[in-house]
Amino acid sequence: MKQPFLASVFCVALVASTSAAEILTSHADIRFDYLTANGTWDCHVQYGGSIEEPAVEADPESVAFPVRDLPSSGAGDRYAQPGSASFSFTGTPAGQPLWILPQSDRGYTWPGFDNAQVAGTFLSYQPSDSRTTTAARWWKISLVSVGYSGASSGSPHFSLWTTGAGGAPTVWMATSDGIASTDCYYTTENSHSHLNWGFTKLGVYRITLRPSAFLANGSLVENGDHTLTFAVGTLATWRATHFSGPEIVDEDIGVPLADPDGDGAANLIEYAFNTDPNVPSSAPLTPGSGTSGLPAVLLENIGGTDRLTIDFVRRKSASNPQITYHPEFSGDLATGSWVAGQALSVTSIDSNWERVKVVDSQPAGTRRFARVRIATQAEISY
Amino acid sequence: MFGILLRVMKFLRPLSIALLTTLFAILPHDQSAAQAIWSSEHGDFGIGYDDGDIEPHWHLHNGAVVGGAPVDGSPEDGVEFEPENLMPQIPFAKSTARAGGAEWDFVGVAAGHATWVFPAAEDPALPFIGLGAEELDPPDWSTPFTVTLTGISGSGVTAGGFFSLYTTDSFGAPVVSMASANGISAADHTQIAAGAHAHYNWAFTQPGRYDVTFEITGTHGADGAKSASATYRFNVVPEPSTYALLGLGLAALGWARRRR
Repeated sequence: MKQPFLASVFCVALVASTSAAEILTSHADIRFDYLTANGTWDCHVQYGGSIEEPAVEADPESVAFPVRDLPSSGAGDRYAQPGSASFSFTGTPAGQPLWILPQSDRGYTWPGFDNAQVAGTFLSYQPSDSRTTTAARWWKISLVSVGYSGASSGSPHFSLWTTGAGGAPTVWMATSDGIASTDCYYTTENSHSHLNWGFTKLGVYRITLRPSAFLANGSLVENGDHTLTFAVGTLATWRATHFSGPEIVDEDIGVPLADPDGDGAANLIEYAFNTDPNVPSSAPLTPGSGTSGLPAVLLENIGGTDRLTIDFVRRKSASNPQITYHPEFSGDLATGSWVAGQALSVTSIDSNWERVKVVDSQPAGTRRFARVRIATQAEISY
Repeated sequence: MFGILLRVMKFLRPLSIALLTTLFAILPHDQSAAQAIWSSEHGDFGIGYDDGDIEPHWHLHNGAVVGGAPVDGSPEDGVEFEPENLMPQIPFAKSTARAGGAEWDFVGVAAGHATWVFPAAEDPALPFIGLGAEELDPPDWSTPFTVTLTGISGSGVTAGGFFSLYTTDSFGAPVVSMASANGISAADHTQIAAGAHAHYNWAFTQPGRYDVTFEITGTHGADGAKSASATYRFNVVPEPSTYALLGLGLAALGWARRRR
């Protein structure tokens, strides 16, 4: 049973996990191999590697596949559901955003399936599934479940399909009509294949798959569920960068309102202000030059009057951070008393970040309070 | 007409079998040296580099079926062939109809017309042909490789057939790299980085042999610009009845000569 986390108790620092996920931004294969000696299926994610260097064989829970929330016409993975009936399986209406990791290499995250067996381990047969057209040494990857952790208010859906030589999609898995035994991918012994992975909402998807096959003697081997993490969008990718596997969706660790390093700044705040959610720190931003840190509040003389100012770093809206920043001032902390500040300057730091300075519209007087409120967007309108 | 053929067949059964066997050896008439036939599973149009030369070849993975049996290069991951010594083959029965829509006109035949495609998404009954540069170490190369179609010939071409190389995007629209139907130029190319691997649809529009010549270029960090050219052969098996009729025709000629 999880205990509720007490945000105000600073002396109890939850030991933060530093097992961040490796974010895979190029070709990476999900390998399912049946180990004849053990009678079990093994799963690794294999990436890197060349003629000179061996590939990394990673535990699936230690990696995450990022999906970029930028237009697919450029360096991004966001498309629009094309509107033909053949793509309604994706689970989102025509014209709505659809995030896709592609079947053909586009120079970024490119997950495939892979298998290596001693030739003849699996039975050669013709499954009674119209998506297979011949007898071969088939094995199967079944969809067990899809867990979602994100801000979307709608129904997030996952689908997996291939497009053939004639263009029409073969749909292997789709959650839009529920999860059934037909949500599976048939592939052959020692094969390597790439497919299209579709996601309908921003957020973290935990996709659990189960391999199975008939051995040459006809017995069914089906065990070893493994979960793969896909991070759709900037916020989800940040969560996967700092937390891995089940931690990302753990209410005490990786969800936006958790504070695993116990420094009083929830993950969403650490995301907003470019700090490390696994390292306790309440250091404010260095005004005028800093690139990370909590908002810095100063009392400055602006135009002859003493006023509060706030310096803070902000994710550029072009990076689709899925949050908005609201620098606000109040005289008494009362609900409804907070008023937006006036922008003094915006300085670009890099392609994703800028530094903002705002000033209180009221003079400092007896007392004034300042804050930066972060609001999450359930959907982004592009 | 058919009745006459049947009577001829009855007389000529032993002779026709001998002639048909000869025909399989000599048809189509543009075959050169003995070639291993690759009928299914994974192999790659491979790019190697040895002694300062780009080396185009076929790299077939263990389990690929050549000459009716799976190759096994263990402990290596496969077996290599010179381009002229291996021929991927697709049976006549595995044709697919060209998809509708003007975006598919590059294939070179009308919508609905038969095409023979080695697919980019694996069909266990067909060769699964990739483009592979995994033998090359990425740090050694300053540029990706460009593979350009420079020529095409063979009985398939003589019969009016075209070759195209394409992938499909996530929604099934074609992304065309090469198409001989609208002529051959520098535009008919694709690129692959050292160390990378990609799959394509290799499409042909008529039965017969295709000798497809490619030029491969790339810049080696130390050795400079390199290029090599090679001709790869593909086969679309003609309709079985074509053999039978030709066999009967030649058998009839043989019988007629003997009678004289």
